Amino acid sequence: MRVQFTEIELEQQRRVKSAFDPEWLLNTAKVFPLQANTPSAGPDDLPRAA
Amino acid sequence: MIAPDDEAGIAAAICAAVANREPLSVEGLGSKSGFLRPVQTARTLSTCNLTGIPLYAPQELVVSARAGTTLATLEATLAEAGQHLIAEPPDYAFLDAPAQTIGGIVATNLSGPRRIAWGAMRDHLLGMRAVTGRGEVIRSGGRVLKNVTGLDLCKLFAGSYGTLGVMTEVTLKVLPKPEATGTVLLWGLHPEEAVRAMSIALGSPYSVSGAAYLPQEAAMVMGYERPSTIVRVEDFADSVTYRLDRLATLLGRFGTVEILDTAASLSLWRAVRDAEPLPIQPDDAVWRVSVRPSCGTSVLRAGQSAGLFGYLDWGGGLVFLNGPPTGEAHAAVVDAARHANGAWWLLRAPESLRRARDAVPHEAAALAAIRQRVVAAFDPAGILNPGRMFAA
Amino acid sequence: MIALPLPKADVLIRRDAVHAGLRVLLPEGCVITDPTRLKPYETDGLSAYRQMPLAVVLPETTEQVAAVLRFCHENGVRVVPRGAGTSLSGGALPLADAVVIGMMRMNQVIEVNYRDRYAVVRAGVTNLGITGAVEAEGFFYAPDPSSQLACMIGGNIGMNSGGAHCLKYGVTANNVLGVRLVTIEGEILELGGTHLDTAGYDWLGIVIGSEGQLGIATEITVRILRAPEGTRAMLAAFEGNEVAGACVAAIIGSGIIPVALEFMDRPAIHACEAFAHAGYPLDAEAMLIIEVEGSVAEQDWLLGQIKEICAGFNPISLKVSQSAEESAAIWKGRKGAFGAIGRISPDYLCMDGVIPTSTLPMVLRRIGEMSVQYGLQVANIFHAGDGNLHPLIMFDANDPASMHKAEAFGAEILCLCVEVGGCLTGEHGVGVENAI
Repeated sequence: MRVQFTEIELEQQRRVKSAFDPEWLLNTAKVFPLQANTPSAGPDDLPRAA
Repeated sequence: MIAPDDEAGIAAAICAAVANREPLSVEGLGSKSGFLRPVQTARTLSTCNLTGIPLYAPQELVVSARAGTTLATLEATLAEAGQHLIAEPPDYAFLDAPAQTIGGIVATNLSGPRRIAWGAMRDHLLGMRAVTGRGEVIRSGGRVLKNVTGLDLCKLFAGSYGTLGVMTEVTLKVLPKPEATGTVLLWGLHPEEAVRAMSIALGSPYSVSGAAYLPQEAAMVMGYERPSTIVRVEDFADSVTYRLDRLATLLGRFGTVEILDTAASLSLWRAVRDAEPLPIQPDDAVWRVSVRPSCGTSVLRAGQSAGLFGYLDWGGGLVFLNGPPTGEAHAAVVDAARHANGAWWLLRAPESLRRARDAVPHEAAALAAIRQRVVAAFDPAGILNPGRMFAA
Repeated sequence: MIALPLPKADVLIRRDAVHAGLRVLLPEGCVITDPTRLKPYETDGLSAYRQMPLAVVLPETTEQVAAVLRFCHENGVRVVPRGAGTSLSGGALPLADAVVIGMMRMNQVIEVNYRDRYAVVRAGVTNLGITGAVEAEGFFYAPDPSSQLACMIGGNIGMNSGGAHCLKYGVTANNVLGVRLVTIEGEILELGGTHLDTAGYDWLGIVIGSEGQLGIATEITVRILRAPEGTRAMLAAFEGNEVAGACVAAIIGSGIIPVALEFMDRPAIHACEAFAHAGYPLDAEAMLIIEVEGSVAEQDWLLGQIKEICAGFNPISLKVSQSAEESAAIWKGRKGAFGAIGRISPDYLCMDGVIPTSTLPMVLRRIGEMSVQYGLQVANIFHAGDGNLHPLIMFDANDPASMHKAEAFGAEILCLCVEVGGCLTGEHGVGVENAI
């Protein structure tokens, strides 16, 4: 995903995801890069290194 | 009016508007600025100076155009290679400006008669560049015909009436223009018979690409004496001849069948596309209703009972209505559309009606809450076309 | 290797409470927690990756799906939706702390309406099952992914699945009118309906292809189309990828849009022929399968035009199918391509990049160079009409070094796709495979 999208573009997609699923419980770890696989705002319980 | 000639200028204008908390009206050439709810802002941001066609690959069926490119310019470029826009976007007879931009066409997701067979503008939007209400440039999709990489923001922007961001460039799938066009015409049917006939035609294996019904008044605007049911076929000439013949046989039980040739068909379907069969007075309201085809007749009849004129496209699935812009007429259209579980748009009306009433259907509470969060995700300050689609 | 997130420790500790909570919500037999019965759910079509889930639930109604999601939301439990588990990108790969929601019991066709040309089905109906329900009346559901016998419409919604015929008929998003979507909060949303255009924002458009990120589709209204009078396929074999690619461009440039236009390279031709005995030309470097539809006269005319175009590119052979059986054999080879590769290599990675069709010869040349460099064989299958390229990279999963090389090879191909103006995935989805 990072090859195809800029950080700004990924962040915008993440915001749409958050609008539907604020806590990111739905199909976590798919689609978005793991480091970014977390609510665009809020606590981050995911490892930083992929 | 701010009309930058590049994307950076659009971004700068939006950033300035965000900083000053100053909402913007977003438009191309303003031809559809009277659609849906009125937007009141001190300033307007236009894409009309973002013109040009940076990419056109006819053999890959793809074209990219900057948002302010006029529909006429784009169509002329495609025509040079014998191609066209698949969704047949309309050039409505009741627009507020003589020309439309491709950005405006995509942002309002308006499609013509061919939509029933080949999809809407949103179906052919392969990619876009846009500046969000955050002043950030984003791309979604691309220049290839298939793409499921990430969330499809293109679909969200198509039909969003400039409320999420300002599209600066769109990439569309295109197709070859058909060699020939032909029409089967049936006279004098009642709406229900007409929809039945169109359903049979659309359920046949003959690739029907248009099916419309003009009741008495609409037919008379077009110079016909009786209600007209028309079914279109587009393809290579021999195929069109063959399929018209088959369709004429199939529809023979509905009465005498007439066949229109390519030239007559092109002008008739252009008129259907552009809502020309509506007898529109200057102050009239215009509604567009999308329902399942067999419900089109009930919406048409409800409109007629409320003193409106109308006709059916998409085999009965699209109803155009026009008439006096009264609250009663609006309520009649909305009730009929709701009863049919359909969608509706108050496309054009005096500002008083547009301000007082919904212009598109209310969403259920749970969806409305998601919608507000999604809109805020793109335009947190609420500066792009505020109130255009929903009052809140 | 693909990294997965750490499981939530607090959820793992509450495992028994989560199991008990789910059992309250669902009928007997709809909650699976026994490790031996969880085993079949530990992976999907990307079988190199496995992970046992916390539990699997098999709801039978939309309301049950809503109840499970509401429960998971209230308890901070992650959820992985699953259809038939055919995802090639790991879209249904479980997580150790997640509840898998399997949709296979929601496999009913609710309504078929020929007059208005739609069908309402539950998410667990298979793709081919929809066509099966309407074909007696001469109708079909257009998107036809290769896995259509097994894959479910709910998963097609998740991945916006395409198929060999999407050049003419479009992908899932172009063929769906309505979706009943359950949100993580357990709200049931009705998106779209039975009409063509929706007012307001295009929720269907953002949900289809969202890979289960936004909600779970439980009921779907699809367009059904009347089947054409007939279809017929032809094979055209060429001496090289360049001429075959140029021939594709010439066909499209002529104004003819075949319903399908498939490209196979030499390794793919050989593997598929050994499997299907379809009469593929083994002396060719590249082969096109071209399909047209219409009446017999229309087919004859279109195939005649296409043959004439192909003749300008020095074909090794041109073979027009003379019967439905011959056409079926031609397609059997193509649709069985993945199985065919499976026969010659213990494991393979199926990539799903998309490229501008004009770049095909260059991209295939580069892939060939990478194949030598990585020491791994690759076969290429390409939806030539729409630019969707499926390189099948053969490796041995028992050899970690081989698997690492295959993944690196695949990643390099996808970077190349983006570099030439294409994208990472055309129809399989990002899943876990391409998320990095």
